Amino acid sequence: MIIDQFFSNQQLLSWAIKAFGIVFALIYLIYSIAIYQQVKLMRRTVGTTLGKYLNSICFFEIMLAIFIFIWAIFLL
Amino acid sequence: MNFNITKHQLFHSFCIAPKDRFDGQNNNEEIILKLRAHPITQVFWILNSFFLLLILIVMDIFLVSILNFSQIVFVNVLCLSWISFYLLSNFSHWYYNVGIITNQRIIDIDFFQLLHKEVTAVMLNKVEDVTSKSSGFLSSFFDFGNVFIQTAGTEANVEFMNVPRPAQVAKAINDLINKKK
Repeated sequence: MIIDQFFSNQQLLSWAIKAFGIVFALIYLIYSIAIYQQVKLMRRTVGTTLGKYLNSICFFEIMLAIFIFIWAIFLL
Repeated sequence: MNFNITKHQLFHSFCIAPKDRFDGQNNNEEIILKLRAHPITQVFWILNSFFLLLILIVMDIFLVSILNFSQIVFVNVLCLSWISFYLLSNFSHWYYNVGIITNQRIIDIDFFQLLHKEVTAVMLNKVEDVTSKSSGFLSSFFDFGNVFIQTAGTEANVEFMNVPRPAQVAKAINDLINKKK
């Protein structure tokens, strides 16, 4: 019954998604930065051709995390 | 097997004489073999991500009746970014866990969790024993297994886990040791 009420209340649902999005984006941002640093470190250890592409993908992940954060705060 | 001609086999998990460089490489040091875990051992996380994608598609069918369009797009972006991160972290974990055999030493580079790196290097003249082990249906069928390199005294031992063609790797190391003697 409570779940039904929750899903039928559009405002409450919107706030729940917003809050979840903000927390998710922050955790995602921390992990993305960590993996970016890790790939940078490993690129120095083992130089491979794919390394720079991996670094670019990690950078894209950081940008995506920032975008999700902004989206959750301002657009949703 | 000829270890002079550059070859990248099994999705770069068995690289013969690659042109790559590594940290601390000497001027006259040449990479003979570069090993990663066999691609078949990575199938589980690839299948997992397909499964997660499938869950997302099924979830979308139910979300249409609950959320509005922008909320559905937002939830989809969240889930897709999570799946992409899962793929990226697993791929980089596989890609940078390498074993390198040069004409001077054997190097094992591991990274376990985020920001944890371990590099073990053993000189060829310190190697006492090389053992290759492969057990189970999958490892026999796809020819992958573990290679254990034991060293003299207090030197660290090196292990290459789930590498392709473990018998060939062990033979290559033994040939190098004999050449050194």
